[in-house]
Amino acid sequence: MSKALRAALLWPHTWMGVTLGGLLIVIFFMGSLTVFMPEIDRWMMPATRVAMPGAPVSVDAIARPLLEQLTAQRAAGGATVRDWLVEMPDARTPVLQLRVRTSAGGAGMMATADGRRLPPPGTLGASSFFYPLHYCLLLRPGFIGYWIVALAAVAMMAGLVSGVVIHARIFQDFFTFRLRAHPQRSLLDLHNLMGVLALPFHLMITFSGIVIVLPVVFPAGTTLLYAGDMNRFYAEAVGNYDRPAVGAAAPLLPLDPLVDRARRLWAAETGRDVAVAQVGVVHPGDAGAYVRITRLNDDRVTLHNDPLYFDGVTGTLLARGRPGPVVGAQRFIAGLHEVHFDHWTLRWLYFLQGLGGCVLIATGLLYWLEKRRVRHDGRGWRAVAATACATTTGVVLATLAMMVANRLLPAALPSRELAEVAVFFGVWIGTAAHADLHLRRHPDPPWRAHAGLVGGLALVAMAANWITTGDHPIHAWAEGHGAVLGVDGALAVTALVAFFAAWRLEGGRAKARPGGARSGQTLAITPMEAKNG
Amino acid sequence: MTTPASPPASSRRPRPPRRGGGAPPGGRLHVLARVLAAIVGTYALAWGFGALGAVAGTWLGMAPAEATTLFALLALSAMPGIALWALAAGRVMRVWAVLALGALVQIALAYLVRGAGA
Repeated sequence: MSKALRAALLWPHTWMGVTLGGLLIVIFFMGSLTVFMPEIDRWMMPATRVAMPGAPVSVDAIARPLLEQLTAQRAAGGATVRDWLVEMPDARTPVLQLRVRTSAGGAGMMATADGRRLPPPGTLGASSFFYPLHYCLLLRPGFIGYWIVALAAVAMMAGLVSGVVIHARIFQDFFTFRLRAHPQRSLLDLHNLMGVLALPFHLMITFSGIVIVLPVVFPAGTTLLYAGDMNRFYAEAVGNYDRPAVGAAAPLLPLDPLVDRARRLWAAETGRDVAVAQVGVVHPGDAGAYVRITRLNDDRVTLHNDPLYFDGVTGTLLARGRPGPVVGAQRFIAGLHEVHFDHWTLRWLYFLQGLGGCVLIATGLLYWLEKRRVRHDGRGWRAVAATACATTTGVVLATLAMMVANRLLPAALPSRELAEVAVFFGVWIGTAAHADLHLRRHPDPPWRAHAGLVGGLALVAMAANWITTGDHPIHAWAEGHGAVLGVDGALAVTALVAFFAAWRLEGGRAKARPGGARSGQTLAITPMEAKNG
Repeated sequence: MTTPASPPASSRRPRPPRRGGGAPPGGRLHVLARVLAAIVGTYALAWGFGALGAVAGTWLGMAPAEATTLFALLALSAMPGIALWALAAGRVMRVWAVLALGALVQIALAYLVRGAGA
């Protein structure tokens, strides 16, 4: 690759990183947490730390009475019921999640496999906070958050491609990490090492992430062929079935026999015992009722959940959602992103490489900050430095603070889940303000203070879990609460790493200051020079 | 390889970066034109490709949802490369001309083909 091309691609690479790097770190961090979403949910919703039922749960005996309760509550004023949905328990989420939608609004609840209704969790948890923060920044109106995340993701792909072009000595530098060298040099080494090591994963995860929301952010074909009607496109793409209510009452069939039929059908096709993910009933109690049963995808990559549609009154198999080959490929790529398949090694690799993405972008930002320190010692430099701090240690602090609040806020607090969200954003804004104030008087962001706080908050979160739930490691081990053990373990590792970093930053400062030479003044290595040298 | 097909600035010898490695060339207006080309221009060109492909695929007998998805996936794969080309290629006016013309021609053709098919 020519030298001119490398030079031409350097500034786009740099400026995409400086402008969108902070946002991308947040997206990568929240995405990494989402890999363990069910486990974090168990930690944040202690009432759901129950044993997985040994036998398949009966929809008729357990779920249906609860659904009828919910319906009676919601439709008391003569409202009509639109649909029921039961999310069946599985190994990672051992509770049933039930939802009813009526013309007067919806209602939901969680219940144990033996039919005990659980109180509202009082938290959004990972599934309704960290996860949506990852894919739409919680900005749903007009899909604006989806657009921002998709733009950042395309920039990430362009950053990866341009990074490979700029960085010509891939193989050689793969074995280069001068940890003890000048900080600027080791930052670039780490940036290159992480970029090369996790390049296939980062390309895959970025591309597949956009593929999931592609019909939303790239409505080209749907504009021309579906008059912009995304729902009609989706329904046709995956082969959804729908029909209106008739308006005449008719008794709904027992659901367990239909679930058995679905499982037998899947077992005959795949030769495996396939678990049921969801059982939904549309227009329950109406003559037009139909039942939709989907499968769990813990044994394969694709997100396609193979919905089977049965007539709710006669039990006839009405339809089967079957996407064509291209949409099937799209579902497969989406499945690569969402890791629903049951493979703990791969889950950890996704998690670690996701965090590796944060390191990749953060080291790039830090390298830029070191290099530009002399040239841009002004407001712009400080804004980037404060942003880098708020989107790395700041977002970790906000997450940990939310977990502490999750354990310590009183259960009776009104709108408790919103109080947790307020803690998250309050702490996050606080870290940004702190970084900015600190930078007015110091040459570096408050890394050491933040690292110490991260360590402290991680320990507090762990201790708060032990005290408020009694689920200390011995208890969690005895009860088989692997999710709780895992989250507590991750908190402990976080604390160790953070304290070690704080200690090393202290030592590094003591050694570097007397010389007086600030990084950036002594060495002005650009990636180009480094390669030629 | 997703890098641009032709190495940029073939007509002129590339100027060495003025202010070290990562500085954008030219003034603020130039940078703005580049960035807009990379975001808006790239999206418009890809959108045209996605639209034309979806319509043409349907016209050739593919299911509409299949053609829509196929050409959306292809357009997405091309986007990072086109954006980088828009940022790095020699003259920004030529970049804008290629992107705008490509987008308009494809979108016009897409509506024409759809009109003919329907």
